[in-house]
Amino acid sequence: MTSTPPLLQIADLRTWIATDAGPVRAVDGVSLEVAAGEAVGLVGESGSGKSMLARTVMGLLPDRAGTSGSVLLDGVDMLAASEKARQAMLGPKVAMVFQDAGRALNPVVRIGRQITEGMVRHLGISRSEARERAVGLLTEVGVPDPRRRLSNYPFQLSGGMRQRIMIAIALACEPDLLIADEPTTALDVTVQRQILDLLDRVRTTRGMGLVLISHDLGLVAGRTDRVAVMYSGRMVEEGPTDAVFDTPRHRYTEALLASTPSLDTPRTRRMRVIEGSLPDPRKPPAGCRFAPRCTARTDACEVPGADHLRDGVLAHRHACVHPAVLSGATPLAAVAPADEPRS
Amino acid sequence: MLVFTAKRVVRALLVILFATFLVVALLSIAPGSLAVTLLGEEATPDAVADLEARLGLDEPLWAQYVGWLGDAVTGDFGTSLRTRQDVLDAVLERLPVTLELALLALVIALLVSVPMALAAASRPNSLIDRVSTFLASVGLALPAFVVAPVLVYFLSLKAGLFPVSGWERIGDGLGDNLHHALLPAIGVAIPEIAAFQRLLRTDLDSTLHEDFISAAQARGLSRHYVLWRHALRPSSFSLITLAGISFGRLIGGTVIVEAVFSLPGLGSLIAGSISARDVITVQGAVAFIVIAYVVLNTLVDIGYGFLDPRVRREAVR
Repeated sequence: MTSTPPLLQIADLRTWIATDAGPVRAVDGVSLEVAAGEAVGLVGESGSGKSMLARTVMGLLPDRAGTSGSVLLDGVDMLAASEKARQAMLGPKVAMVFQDAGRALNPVVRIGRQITEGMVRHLGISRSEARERAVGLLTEVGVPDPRRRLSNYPFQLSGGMRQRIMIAIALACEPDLLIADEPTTALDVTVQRQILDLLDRVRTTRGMGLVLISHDLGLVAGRTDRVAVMYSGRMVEEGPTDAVFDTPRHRYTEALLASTPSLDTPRTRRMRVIEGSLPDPRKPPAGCRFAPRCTARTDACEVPGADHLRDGVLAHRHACVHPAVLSGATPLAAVAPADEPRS
Repeated sequence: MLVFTAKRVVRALLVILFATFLVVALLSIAPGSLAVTLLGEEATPDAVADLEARLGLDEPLWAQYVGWLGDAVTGDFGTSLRTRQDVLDAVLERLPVTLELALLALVIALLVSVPMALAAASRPNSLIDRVSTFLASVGLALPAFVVAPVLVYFLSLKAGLFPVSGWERIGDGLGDNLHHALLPAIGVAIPEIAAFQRLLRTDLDSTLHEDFISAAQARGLSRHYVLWRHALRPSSFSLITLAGISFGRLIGGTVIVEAVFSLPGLGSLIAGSISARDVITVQGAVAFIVIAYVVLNTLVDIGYGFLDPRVRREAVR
């Protein structure tokens, strides 16, 4: 009873969007925990449901969306809370950095107001107090000449500066958890690194939890404690970042890593690609959703429920019927639970 | 912002010149001899020639226009053929009534339509959205000559809230003036409310799907605040344009409502002058409307600059 409950506790979350052709299951039974101060990477290709997961936590779903399961943030169920109660959490408990700051900043509202409005609402401070704090925040995120920036409009700033401002806005009410949804995808490569370093720095100095969402495994590699891999709305693998990278168990993670160029890859070797595409989210395969694209597929993969998460060593879980064995790693049979279907 | 404004003003002047030229040209373009029409078929050729000379109809079009323009800038718009009254005096006497009516109607229309559109757009397909959109469709479909008598019947005759007709000058007391002006203004406003609501509702809908709205919501700001602070301004460009056009249109187009309520406005002046073939008065009054229209639309253009900082920037480049 001594262990504190995790900061964010997502349990069996389902998010779907009603369409004329039936519901699109964007997130389909995902559980994930983030401890206070922990950095978790959430990885998957576009359409895997990672952004919808983030939007569900923040309550930013379109009108035709439905949800089930629970999202406990500091003990409050964000799915069941009233609009007022939920809004009170957004800012002080959880904040979000969006992919493209050029679109996520209101083009006709001054930077100053966009930073201070949340503070005025949540912290109960005056506008002038909030402006003073905003100057401090902009300095913290490395925006030069912060006082003048407050009266600027977003179009007067570069993409990198805008993303720094986005981060300052997210930090304004000192959230316990920051969700960064592809925070660098819209930026130049040189600026990407600066922004990621900035996120690292503010997280460490503030002891803040971080969910770093990316389609790029390499991006989360050195910057997170744990990583979760999503495919077609399902969680396929989750564990300590190093373990997932060094010994990926799920065939999808394995293929994803193999398709990512790295400095270690010999220049003569052709890069591998994953054949096929994501399944139709309206009628996904009954068993493992990666099975149609998987080279290790057998009939056992198509049994409904075949893609449940299996516990592995050191909290490294995966949803694969035929988990990968890497050279030098423990043979699969030694760690696989007895009930695991084998072929 | 200064360069931006200057460019708009120059453009406005050009439009005024072109439009007033058309107004003057109307006299010559109209089929048949105007003098004959005015004097009747039995008029002597001498009388016709005399009138044509007085109206300047024997001169080429450009000379007519230059003459008219020269007089107009000194405030001389001619003398009414019907009442012998100075046209400028006649117009200025009636302009305040029409301006007040149009302005009041516009303010009422915006005050009603903006909250209606915000309420509807914030909860699409809800009861409030359906009701507000339905009412807007009804308002758009009803012509002024239906709306105005219905208002008179219920609010004046039945409820006794407003006078049935007539006008009190602002100088004779604001309360009395508004008491007389409010009902006609509501009558003028109803179709405008409908159009404004529909337009803003549609623009809001696309704005509400923008990332910056999600981002504002992600800051835990209230629904109300996000709508008014973040969604309304970027959604109101078309509305401002339409409101400017409407105001210009109303200045010349409140004829029916002025007639129903017997108001001494510009609309009734033009209507009366047309039936009396008083072309000089029509010319002067229409020129005024053109100028008012252009001035308003220029103000709207300049207003964009205040609404969207990016417009200012682009114009200077």
